[in-house]
Amino acid sequence: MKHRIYRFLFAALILALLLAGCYDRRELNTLGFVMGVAIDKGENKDEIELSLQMAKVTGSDQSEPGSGSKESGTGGDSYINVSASGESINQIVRDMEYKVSRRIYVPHNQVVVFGEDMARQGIRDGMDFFARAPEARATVYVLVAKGKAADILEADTVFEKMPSSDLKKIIDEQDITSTVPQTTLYDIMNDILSRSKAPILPYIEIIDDKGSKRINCLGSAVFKNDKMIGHMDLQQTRGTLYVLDKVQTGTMTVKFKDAAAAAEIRQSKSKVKLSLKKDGGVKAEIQVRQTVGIGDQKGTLNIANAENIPVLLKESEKTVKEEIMAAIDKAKELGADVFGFGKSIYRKYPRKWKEIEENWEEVFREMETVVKVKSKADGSGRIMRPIAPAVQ
Amino acid sequence: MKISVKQAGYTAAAFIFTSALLTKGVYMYLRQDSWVAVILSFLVSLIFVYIYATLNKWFPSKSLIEINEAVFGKIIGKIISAGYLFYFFTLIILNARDISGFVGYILPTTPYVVIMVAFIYTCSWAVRKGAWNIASYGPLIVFVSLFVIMLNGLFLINDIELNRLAPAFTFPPIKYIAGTHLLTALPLCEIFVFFMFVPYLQKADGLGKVLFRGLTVGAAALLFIVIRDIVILGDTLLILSQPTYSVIRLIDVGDILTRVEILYAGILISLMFIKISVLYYATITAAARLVKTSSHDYLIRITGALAVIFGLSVFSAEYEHMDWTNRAAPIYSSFFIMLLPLLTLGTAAIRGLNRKNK
Repeated sequence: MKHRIYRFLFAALILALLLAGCYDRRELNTLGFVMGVAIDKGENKDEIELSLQMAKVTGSDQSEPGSGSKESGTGGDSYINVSASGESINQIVRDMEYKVSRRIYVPHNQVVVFGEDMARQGIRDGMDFFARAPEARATVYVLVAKGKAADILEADTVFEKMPSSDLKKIIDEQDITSTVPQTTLYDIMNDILSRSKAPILPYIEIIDDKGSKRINCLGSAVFKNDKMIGHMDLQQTRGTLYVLDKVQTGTMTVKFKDAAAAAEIRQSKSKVKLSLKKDGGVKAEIQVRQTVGIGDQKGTLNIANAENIPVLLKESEKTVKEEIMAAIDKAKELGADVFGFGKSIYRKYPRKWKEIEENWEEVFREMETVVKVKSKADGSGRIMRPIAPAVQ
Repeated sequence: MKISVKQAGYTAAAFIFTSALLTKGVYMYLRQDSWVAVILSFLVSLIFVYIYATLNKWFPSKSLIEINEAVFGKIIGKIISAGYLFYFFTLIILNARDISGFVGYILPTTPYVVIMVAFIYTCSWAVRKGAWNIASYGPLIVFVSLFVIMLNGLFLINDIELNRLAPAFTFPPIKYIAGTHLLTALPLCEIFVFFMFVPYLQKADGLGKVLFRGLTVGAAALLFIVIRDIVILGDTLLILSQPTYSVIRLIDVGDILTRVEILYAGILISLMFIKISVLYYATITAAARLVKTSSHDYLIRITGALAVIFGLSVFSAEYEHMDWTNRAAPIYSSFFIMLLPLLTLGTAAIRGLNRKNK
């Protein structure tokens, strides 16, 4: 009986110690929640300039959207931007604790933006910290900014309280344009490790929109291994996303006799068929099947009838083909296999891959590509013809 | 109370599940072909399960220690049994180290000693309550684990790229052998430890059924996990220190359902509780039978204390632990769970002990 009491007391003591909470717990008011990261080239060689955007949790309750301001801001600010330079991200983050009264906490980070100079120098070192830190998440978006990445964190916001949240939502929404890739840290790691697939990252800039500094998407930054080597415009990027089967929805303007229509991509599915040619080369046949509807139209000609719909479909097929060909030409010009053809060859013809792996860039530039697009008609929306009296 | 075949079978499955969630080693050998090693190791393990079942049929309701004495005589039998005792004890240490490493990965500032003491103490509680107590949790934990594993797979359906399984069969045969050996010796045939539970089984010669059920359910889950990791992680599989955990960290359903890895952590800890308790129990019963004592309490305390001490000091760093698991552990395990049982079966057959028992 006595033993039982001792045991019970011992268990109660252990449980009281262990279940009361972590001994190294961190309360909300001790943490600096990083919401966005910008990485630029430092002033000195081998130096990185790191800027962190941290949420001011108490301030964000009272502030209005768009009222966010940076470090020097007064009460009601919703974020603070802190910058520092150094040779390694981990070191810089620790050094930032000299300036910030809270523990820098990265699990809620939403975006990592590289400045173009840094991206051209290589993003591997910058990504290492975010791939390695146990708290950081691989689903964070990674982007490249034209100019300085730190400027992106200074953009004016409209709906969100922080530029980094704005940026995250802008990229989230790109599935309705399919002209900007939604690249995560995990995607880039996979691409770089594949040895042949060239990563593409969203390419953004800051524009002056009637006195406000707004974020704008330019397309995609193209990489070879971890170094940026060029960029693709919005149409070329969508061409690339078609080949990668990542186009979800979108819209394209189709010229049409004396009218024009916005053909809306409602669904798209692509396949790449690779084959070996007798001369030792490689051929890729890209097949796209999509459903297209009418988003809106110009003029009074009724496009949504049996006579005109086939023309609309043909035109949309032509546009998609052009976009894909433009993407292929650009990729060949840059010598960057953004489509992952090399990876597919390795998967389908591993022996052939061993032969061509060394000169893959050359083989890629010489590759024959055939694009086949098939469009299927979808509805014309809530109206069946333009808002115009019927022709008698 | 005696353990039913169902309870012991699922406990054996839980035993395999634990290692199934720590599959890093096989990816190093076979990357996208790791699933081949799972199937091959299942087939090889079936042979060993047959050997264990035959031994159990020849010596029904006898534990490993008694079989060793019956087959090899008192002195050699005792030496071999002491070897097994050492083996079971080292498994406690290594698994306690595994779970401390895992919890340490999630909570980097928590000292290993806190995790290990808490864990071993909880397991010692279960061991004190007896074999039936441990085994009765088996079915529940297996079903919950299966549910969580399936659910995680479902949440990740958009990240699946089946072509990541290609190309198949491109590695040199030696790598398939090494991968198969690793999986056979580490998670699959480790269920050999259930030999120590034979005296507590409802059916005296039911070990074969128990192990077959455990192996089949365990290997099926292992296959599912390995394929899921490959088709989702692709090339990153090779650089991640916790691939299965990293897969679950990718779950993001509409920005709402994220950070569900805590479910996996909970499951792994529960499974590890079962595994270490089984090993702990096997060690205690082996020691008790070897020194012929019925007082388990002292043995439980001594074993627990030694497990914590050695668990903390066996490896100086995580990379040493990884190196041991991938290189030395399969060979070390093979001696005890492949070679010795084969030797025991052979000697028993030569000495005609199978006929004698019949």
